[in-house]
Order: sequence, then C-alpha cells, then structure tokens
Amino acid sequence: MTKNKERIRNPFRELLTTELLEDPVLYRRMFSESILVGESLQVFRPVNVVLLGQQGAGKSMILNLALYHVISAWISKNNKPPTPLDHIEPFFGISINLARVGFHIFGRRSISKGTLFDFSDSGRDPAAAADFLNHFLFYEFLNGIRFLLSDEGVSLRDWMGVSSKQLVDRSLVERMSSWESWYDYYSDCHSLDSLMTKCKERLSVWRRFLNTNLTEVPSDILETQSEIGLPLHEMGKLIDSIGPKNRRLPLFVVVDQYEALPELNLTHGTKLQRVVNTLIKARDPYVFYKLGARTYDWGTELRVWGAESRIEVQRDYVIINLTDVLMRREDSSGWVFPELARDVAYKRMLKEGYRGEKNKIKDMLGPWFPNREAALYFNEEKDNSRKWILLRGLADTLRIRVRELCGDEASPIDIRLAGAWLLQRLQKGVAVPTLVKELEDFPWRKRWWKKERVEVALLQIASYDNQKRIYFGWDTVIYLSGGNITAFLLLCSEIWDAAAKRDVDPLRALPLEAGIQSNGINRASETWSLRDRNEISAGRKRYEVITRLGPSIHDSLIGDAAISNPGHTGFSIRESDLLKGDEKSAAVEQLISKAVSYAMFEERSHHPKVREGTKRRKWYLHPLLSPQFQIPHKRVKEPFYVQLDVVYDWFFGQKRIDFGPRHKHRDVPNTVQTPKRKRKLTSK
Amino acid sequence: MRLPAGSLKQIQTQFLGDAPFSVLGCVSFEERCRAVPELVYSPNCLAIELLEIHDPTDAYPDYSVEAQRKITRNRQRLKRAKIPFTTQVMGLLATEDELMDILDSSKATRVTSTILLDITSLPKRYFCFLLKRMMLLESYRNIIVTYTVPGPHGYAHGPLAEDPQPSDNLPGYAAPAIYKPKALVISVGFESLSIKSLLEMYIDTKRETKFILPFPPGGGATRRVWDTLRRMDLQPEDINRDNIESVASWDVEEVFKTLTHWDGGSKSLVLAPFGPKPHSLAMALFALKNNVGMYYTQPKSYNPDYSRGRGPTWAYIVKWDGVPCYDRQVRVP
Repeated sequence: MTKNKERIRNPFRELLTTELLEDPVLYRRMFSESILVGESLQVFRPVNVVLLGQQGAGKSMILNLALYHVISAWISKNNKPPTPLDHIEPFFGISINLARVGFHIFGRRSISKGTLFDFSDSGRDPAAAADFLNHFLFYEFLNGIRFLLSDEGVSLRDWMGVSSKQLVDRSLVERMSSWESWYDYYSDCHSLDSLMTKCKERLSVWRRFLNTNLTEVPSDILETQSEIGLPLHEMGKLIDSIGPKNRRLPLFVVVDQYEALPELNLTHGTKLQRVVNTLIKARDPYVFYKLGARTYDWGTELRVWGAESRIEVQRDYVIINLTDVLMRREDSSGWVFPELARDVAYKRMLKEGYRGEKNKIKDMLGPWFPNREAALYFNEEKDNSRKWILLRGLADTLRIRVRELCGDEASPIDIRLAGAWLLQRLQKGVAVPTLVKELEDFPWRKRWWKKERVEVALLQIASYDNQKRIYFGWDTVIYLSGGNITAFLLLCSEIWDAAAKRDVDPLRALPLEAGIQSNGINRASETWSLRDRNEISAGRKRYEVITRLGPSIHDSLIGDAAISNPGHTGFSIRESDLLKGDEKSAAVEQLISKAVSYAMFEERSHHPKVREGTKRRKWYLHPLLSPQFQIPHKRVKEPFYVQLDVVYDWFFGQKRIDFGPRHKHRDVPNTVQTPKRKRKLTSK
Repeated sequence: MRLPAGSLKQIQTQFLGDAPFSVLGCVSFEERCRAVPELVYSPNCLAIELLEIHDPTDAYPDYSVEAQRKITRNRQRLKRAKIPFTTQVMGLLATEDELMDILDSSKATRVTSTILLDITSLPKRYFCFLLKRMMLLESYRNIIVTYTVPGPHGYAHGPLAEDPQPSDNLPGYAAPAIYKPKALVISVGFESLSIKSLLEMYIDTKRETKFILPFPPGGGATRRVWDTLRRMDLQPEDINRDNIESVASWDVEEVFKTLTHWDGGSKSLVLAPFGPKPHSLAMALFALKNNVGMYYTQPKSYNPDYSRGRGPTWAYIVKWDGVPCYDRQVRVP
C-alpha cells in the first residue's frame, strides 16, 4: 500500500513544470526566487535581453515571470512581486510563442505565388509575417488591457500605478484604433471587444491562407499591412502614458521558440529571425524584447530584415547566460544552484502535500564523504582482507609496508591512493628502497594530490570490487545535476521511485539508504542519455557519439592504475582549430554546440597549463551521464588535449574511440612553457 | 459521418464499377507500395502517378543508398508487370507551395474526377495535405483512400523512423492562432519521436491528454505501443480509462466518432497523429470538418526495412459525388 501511495505522490515526477508554466497560480507556488540573482534580474529591467541556457536550465521559468498574468498572480497573493524584484520598476509583459502561433509557416506558402505580384518578390513573405506578429501581439496586448480592467487585475493595476479611470476612458480605444500604423484597418472599432474581434479576424485570414484554405490573401489585408514594430511602439507608448507621471512603465515582449524557426522553415526560417531581430535593433524606448534560446542556438543570424546591419550585443541587447549563473566554478562560494535546487524541491513537496523542514530534501539524501562511500566496497563482514587487492601490481615489499603503515582497518580509499602514488613513482623510475622510505610521510594523503584523485580512485575501487560505483548524498546529486534544474528533478524523482519500489517512505527513512539512492541515480542517468536520442537536431547522432565516448573515457581511467591523469575525463581543443571553417571543424563544432545546448556535454572555461598562442575550450560529458558510463562527475584540471582531426574521427568515424594519453593521438602542444614551469626547470 | 469502407476489391466492385479512375500514390522502399497499382491496374485506370520521396541529406542515420536501392527495385518490378506510371521526385520536407504543385502538375489528378489516393507509403505530411486539397476542391468529385497493411512479419524490430524535427503543424493543418485547446489527443504508434516537444508546447492542456491506441495488433505490437506511451513520461493520473480508447487499426470511422465524442462540439482539440495511417486519416478528416490543428514531429530518417511484405488493402470512400464523408448523415431506418 505504501509503495503505490508514495509512487503516485512523487513530488518530482513532472519535470516539465519548471520549464513551461502557463498556470499563474501553480507557477507562483512552484517558482523559486533563488534563481533571481545578479545577472538573471536583468530580464526584468528595461533592456532587450537574450537569455541563454541548456535545455531544461530554467529559461522559460524566468521569462514567464515577466508576463502580466503571472506576475499578477504573485502580487495578488503576496501583495508584491518576488522579493528579488523589490527594486525593479513595474512593467507590463506580453508574449508570443512563434512556433505555436504558426509564425514559422510564412514563406513556406508564398504570398506572391498565385497572385499578380512578381514571384521573385521574396520580401512579401517577411512583410506578411511582420504584420501577423504585430497583430498577434496586439491581441495579447488587448487581452492584457482587458485583464487590467477586470477585478482580477486590481493588484496588478495598483502595482503598475495605473488607475482604472484611465483604462475605462473611451479615448483609449479610439487611440488604439486610430494608430497610423494600422492604415485604418481598425477605424470602425469603438470598443475593446470590437478591436479584439477584428484582430482575430485578421489573424484568421492569415491562418486560412497559410493553411491553403484561401487561394490568395484578400486585398484589404495586403493593403493595410503594418510595418514591423511600429504598432508595438504605439502599444509601449500607450502603456507608458497610463502609468505614473514620475516614472516609466515599460512594455515587455517575451518571444519564445525563436531558435526553432530555421528548423521549422528551411527556406525562410532565418528571414523570419531577421524580422524579430529588427524589433531588437529598433531600440524602442518603450518596448523591450526578452528572448530565450539554447546555449548555442543564438547568434547564427544577427542581421535585420531588409539590410545587412546586425544587432549588436551590449548596444542593442544584453546576453545573460544561465550557465554562468548556475554552474559551479572552481571557487564554489556564491554558487546559487544548491539553494535553488533545495527551494524547488521544497516547493514541490509542499504542493504535493508533504509538510516538513525546508531542508527535507537534503536530509533525505544525506551527506557524502569519500570514506563513507569507500566503506561500502569490500565490506564483507567476515573477511575484509580482500580489499588489499587494491595494491595489486606492486612488489610485496611495498604492499607489506603500506599495510603496516595504514593498519588492518585502513579505508579502501587510503589503500588505493597509496597504490596509485607508488605506481606513479615507479613509472618515474624511483627505486623500491627509496619508495619504502618516502612512504613514511604518507604522501598520498597530501591535500591536493589526494583531492584530484579521489573520484577516480573510488571508481577504481568499485571496479576492483566487481561492482558499479555507489552514488548517494546531497552533494553528489547537486554535482550530477550540472547546474540544470531539470536534471536535479529527474534525479530526485528516480530516487523517490526507487525508494517507493522497495516500500520505503523516502521522507521517513532519513537519510535514504545509499543503495536505494544509487539505483535511482543510475536510472536517472540512463534516462538522461535516452532522452536525447529522440531529440531534435540530430539527437540520435549525439546519442551514438556519447555511447561510444563514455565507455572509452571509462576504460582509459580504469586502466590508469597510477591515476597519472585524473583530469582526463574531458577533452580540450584549440579554439583556432575549431574556428578554421573547413568541413571537419564545422562538423565538430556543430555537434559539440548542439550537445552543449541539449545538456549532453558540459563546456567549462579552460586556462591551459601551457601557452600556445591560442585559446582552448574543454568539454566533458554532462555530469548526469557519469553514472551510466562510470566516469567521475567532479571536474579536475587538465583535460585530455586532443587534435581536432582526432575528435572528428571520434564523432564521425566508424572505429572504436581510443581516449587518453596511452593512445598516439594526444595533442602535445608545440609551445612555450609558462614562466612558473620554466623556473622550476631552471632550478633543476 | 458516413464512411463506406472495406477491402479494396469490395469497394471497387460496389462503387467504381467500370468508371474511369486514376491513382496517386508513392513508390518507396516498402514492398507494399506496389500493392494498389498492381491490384487496380486495368483499362479503366487512366493514370498512375507515384511520388518518390527522399529523406533530407542531413538525416541521421543516412539510409539513402539502401532506400534508393529498394525504390529502384520497386520501380523495376512495376515496369516488369507492364504497369505504366509517372513519378514526381520530392523532398520529404516539401513546403506547402511544393505540395500544392503536386496536384497542379499531376496528370493523374487531371484526367478523371475519381482518384484513388494510396496512403500506404506516403508520409503523413504528404497524404494529409493532398487529402485536404482534394476534399476542398470541387474538381475532385470522388476520392477513395487506400491503405495496404504489411505482411505477416509486420514492421522492423528496430526504430522505424528517427531524427525528428521540432513539433510542427502538418502542412495545411495549423490550429487557429488565437486558440485555447481543450485537450491534446495523441494517436499512439510504435514511435514517440520527439512527442515531448509537443507536450511542452501544449503544457497547459497536458492535464487533458487523451490517447487512441491501435487494437488488436498482436502481443509484440501491443508491447511496443505501450512502450511508446511509457516514453512519453506521462503522469500516472493521465493513464485512465476515460483518457484512452482502443480502436481497431483499420477503423477510421470509429476514431472519428471517438474524437467527436471527446470534442463535444467545442472544436477545440489538438491532434497528434503518431499512430497507424488509418487513425491519422480519421484525424485529418476530423480536423478538416472542425478546423482544428494537427501536430507532428516529422522524422527525417526512415528505416528502409520499415515493413515486410504486404497484407490486405483497405479502401475508404472519403468523398463521393462531391460530398465529403463527414458531411454525409447516417440515416436511421
């Protein structure tokens, strides 16, 4: 009975809810203010913003807060917007989902074809699309005005500083219907309802034409086509005019699915993007556009419509990269993601009716320490001497000495690190008697040497014990999430299910048994890779690459018993090679970019140990893929340096991927050593 | 709705008789694509036009060589059987303009007002569009849709289609721009493709997602269909008897009736045809009648071993004497 009840009430199951919430009340209950820090607050300032992030990073969650009905739900309940917005000036936000409203169809059915217009007049299709966009957003705007007039909109009105008197003013409708940019299309409309009806009719005509129900666009529509952005400027001015005299009241327009246009319309998709770019380029003082895009899907088409000029970052818009906000840097202080994850989990539990402390999720997963994990391997009750096989490959003298120094109760992690340290020294040609002496100082326990090797050592211990690594603990789950809130929820959901399957109440057996957590985490890892298999933009190809690359990295690490290269869980390529622009570099660059966008790869900043006159970029498999392939999820400096040609062969060749320095394709830079290294060499 | 349907032979006997007709279909890598031309070719058959449709060049996996080999083999076999036909070579992701051109330049659709539209191997984005144009245009008086099921060995065990595009309306079937859908209805088949992107787009209707399952397709196939459902990551509460209807995979009329029942006259469903072709046909007819949208995540790569052999051929009279089947009333005696 417990099993079914708890499984049905899994608070983390609905992963999508964080991404797209169109139910304002539910949104308010689920949204975590923790994500609104520093850069991400820019979304709510009067500036054009492009919000970048991996799939599932929470872009839509943030952008949706700009919408009038969403922020209104918040204000109605709490009398104010989320706390981080305390110092943000009020705004009025409307939105358009370009794919859902069919903006992408323009051009696939040509306006010119079948009419008297010149067939080659390809400018007519973007012009028509621009008109559709203007009128659709006008309909949304009118809906917003109607909302402000309703009882439901009182709180929003108060927050915006708009009086109902100004809104019911008949002249408001007259003003809107007489905007010059409409070319008298709405001249016979004298009420909000009639404006909306006429607007809907126009949108319906466009739709019927695109659906091929009409042979051509009626002349009254063609003759009153509005220019891109002009009506929006009027809408922005109108909102500003009904706001308080002493401050601006900006209009925000959230544009969704911009990045899908070229995929949905192969011939005209980028032209349609240029229509949207034109809105940004206008730098309208009243209207500000907010776009969300996957990490590398922005920037391929920056030209405006009808001209070669481009929209420029910082001048026309700002970029906010959620990855920068949410991903852990080397210095973890100020890392937002753990707090965001904890808060999101708490809110989901509340929604599902679970009561408890805010830290319940942390209590459920418990702490993680290397020794605690290591103790789970080689833990046979009767005889724990089997763990000494972790010293295999070493001479008896060394093995005996390590055993004497560490004692019979030594942790497997201590034994494996000692073994790795010895193997490293042996590879450097140090004699056994010298090593016996060096062991006295327990050099494998030195902080930095140990820290960089713990992850690989744990994997090797699990492997020597003929089992998979056991994953558990709050920190582990946070690391595995890779700064992606959807990945975090998937992990929590699968752990919850794994507990329920064993008839364990996840919130009572605190912390949850490591084995249960590990089952859930492994399942989440598998789901994460399979999730991409059916994704758009060649997900199947990425899946195929990842399922060859992952095992290869694993083999390389397990085979490196001396743990000489603990950072070789990722690879690094020279940026100049990537930007060559030839067929190979373009193919590699595209696959990597998409893999980052779809959260299959993780890109991290790279400061190489050697100076070689060019920048480098490095990539790892997304941390959540680590359990599936049994590779470390924590990042250590110095990835595997590799040539672009080799990566091309990995991705597009048919052969087995040989990862790591044991293979001949390592990219040994012909470089200048860093000064520090130089000094060391000189002193020798 | 009144949709006379049956085996092709029955329909030929009862409706076509000696009247002239032509065939519009597809020559593909599937053996069953030849079934209708081979069955109906006779002096009354004035023209056969077969579309040859190629996956885009960036499709992955790239099956183009194997697919072309099988297409060529099917063409040769039709020629060997002395069945004259013309072809138009098309790209899978043809635009609305290009799809409209098919009918304009097709001989088959000009020489007679009775068309057999063979949807057996036509991709959904093609046959739904062609169906719509022919249903709307008065010059097409009689339209019979035909569909040949695979042979006893059914479909390939691996993926049938891969590399999906983002969720998009099928050409000609975009929902109105101002539209609050009541429910999303998914016809379930062997592939979920990127259906999650569709669920994301209609997240606000996700609570009202309904499913049409093909029945009874045999033990193994049932498992595949339920696997597809599982891959959609649905909430447990989404799976209940009110939300799922099992309909025989050939029964177009029953699917239409189910949609009508679920819609309740609101004309506010969103349809996602991921299931068998006859179910997609029913959805297309419902969409035409009620002006609702049909959405799909078009795969770019089709497995050239998609189906094996050929089974019976069904026929559906979707338009007769200029009257669409959905405008014909059932008279109760």
